[in-house]
Amino acid sequence: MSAKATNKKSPFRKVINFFAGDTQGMTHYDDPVSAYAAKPKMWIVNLFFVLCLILAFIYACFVSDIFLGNDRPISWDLVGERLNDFVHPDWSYFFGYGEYVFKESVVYNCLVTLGVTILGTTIGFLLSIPFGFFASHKLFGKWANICSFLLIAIRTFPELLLALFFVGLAGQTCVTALLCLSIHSIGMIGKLYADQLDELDLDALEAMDACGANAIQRVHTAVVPEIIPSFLSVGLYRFDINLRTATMLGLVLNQSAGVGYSILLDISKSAYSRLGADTLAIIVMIVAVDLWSSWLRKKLV
Amino acid sequence: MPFLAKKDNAWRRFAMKAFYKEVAVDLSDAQDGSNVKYIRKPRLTKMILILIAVAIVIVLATIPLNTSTRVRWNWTYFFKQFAAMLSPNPRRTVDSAGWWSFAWQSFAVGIRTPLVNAQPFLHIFCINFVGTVIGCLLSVPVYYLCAHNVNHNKGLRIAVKIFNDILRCIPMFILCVIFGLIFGNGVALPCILAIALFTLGIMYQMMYEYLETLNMKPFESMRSCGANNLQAVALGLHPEVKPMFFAYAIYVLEINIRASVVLSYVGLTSTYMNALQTYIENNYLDYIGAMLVPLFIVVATLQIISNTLVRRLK
Repeated sequence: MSAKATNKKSPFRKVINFFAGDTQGMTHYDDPVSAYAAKPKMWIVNLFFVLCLILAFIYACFVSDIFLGNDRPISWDLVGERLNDFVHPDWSYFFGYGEYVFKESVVYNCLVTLGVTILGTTIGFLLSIPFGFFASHKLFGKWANICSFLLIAIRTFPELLLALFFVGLAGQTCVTALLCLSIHSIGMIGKLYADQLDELDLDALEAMDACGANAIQRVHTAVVPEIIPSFLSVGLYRFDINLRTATMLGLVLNQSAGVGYSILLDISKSAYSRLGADTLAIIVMIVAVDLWSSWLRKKLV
Repeated sequence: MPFLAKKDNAWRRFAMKAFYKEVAVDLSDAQDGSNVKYIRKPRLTKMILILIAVAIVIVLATIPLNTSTRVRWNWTYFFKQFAAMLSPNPRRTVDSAGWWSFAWQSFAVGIRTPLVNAQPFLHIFCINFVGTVIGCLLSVPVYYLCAHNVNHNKGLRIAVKIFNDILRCIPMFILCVIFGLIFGNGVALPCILAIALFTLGIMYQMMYEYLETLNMKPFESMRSCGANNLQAVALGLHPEVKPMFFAYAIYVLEINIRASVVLSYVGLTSTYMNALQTYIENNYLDYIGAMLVPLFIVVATLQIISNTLVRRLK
């Protein structure tokens, strides 16, 4: 018995037909009024869905303790003081003059973060090339499922947790940040590579074959020029994301990964003008890199 | 290279050859009879590769690799961590049944052990759910304002886009810190607001890019029937956008759950994610393995659902 026939008889299909109208065969209506009267009753499903969503929202509000701790009054004087400090950043801390050394300054920390990101993204970019090839369905058929599952598993792992594991391997150093960034990038870059390779046109390969080219010549002439711009744009896209991750990695890896740790220090010491300097630096850095990479990606593709 | 445009010397000739390529353009339709014209195009890929190489050299020279602390590669400990995650420690979790029951407790009931007293995974999931729903609702008017086929006012469009681009650039934990200045740390409210704004930043961008690829004919036919702009959007565009909206919302929820590990450092205390960190620092790795089970299941399920939805809708 075919699957279609069982589907028709199943109670689930009956319910769907009741709400969404008969999807199997077309019914002919004489006039638009009777057709409008027989229109599918989707509003019942929609209403049910919206009600479920609202109930889930209310339940989630109670579980997440959104109302907890709000009974204590907010002292607006204190908030005003903090915000005043926050919008007047400590410039000597920012640039590292006066009572601060350059190695303690925000600019130096940001440079470290940027450096770690550049190195980590490049390593991840190179490491994920074989993963991308093995995960492409066009080249490897159903065997690609194994590698794509591996890529999903890597993507599922949160970055900070991965960093905590790598601390056991290499201590709280820059190397840990590099390892974390590069290995976590494999998950996403590999998947995007595989998507790009699936869109690849194989006619050029056949043409090279007809010319009598060997394997290396074929790949070099027919595949590489087509994929390099898209691969580079994927790498640039990941560079943006990695920069954000690298600022967070400071929370786990102390000073060695850059600017994140100083934020943690500022909060614990309630030094809000220094917090303002850190935040300003991070936002400026990320916005600048984002604008630059989106401009470059537009030019590439 | 405008600064090299005047002089003709060896360096200029080298640079022109290295960074630019001559591309033939077919001009068979041109009036003056010329068939082919050569134009100069920059070799962007080569430029980027050289840029990366230079950047790496500078970075290797500046960042404190190996200077302050020597890296000791502790491979055995690293792999033992993963092994210990999956094997219940008989001194603590008693047996595999205890391991699974701890996994269930960390998902729904709450973690009550001498070392850690923390909320379950459901708590952090609900925080993310509330934040994502608020952010998605906020993003609905914003992405309609950003799409050039709906909003013809260019100034408004660019203003909204710039504001949102800056919002998108701020990492979630910084938003959480800023809201923490007002509402105080250790409460759920600043985290929820931070997640909502973060969601708004991602959602609006994906949605308006999808909206701009849509066919505008239903919208125009609604307009020609006499509907006003709002009615035309609600009946002509919104039904087409809605499925993609839900697909992306699930995707963003999954991103948020993974990103909310960071909230345990700046905003929330005594949560699931804090428990994870405490257990790793104290070497309770079998507990970590049990706690990762619900996280993996939820995140992988959301990822698969949203991937299939997006692939089918496109």
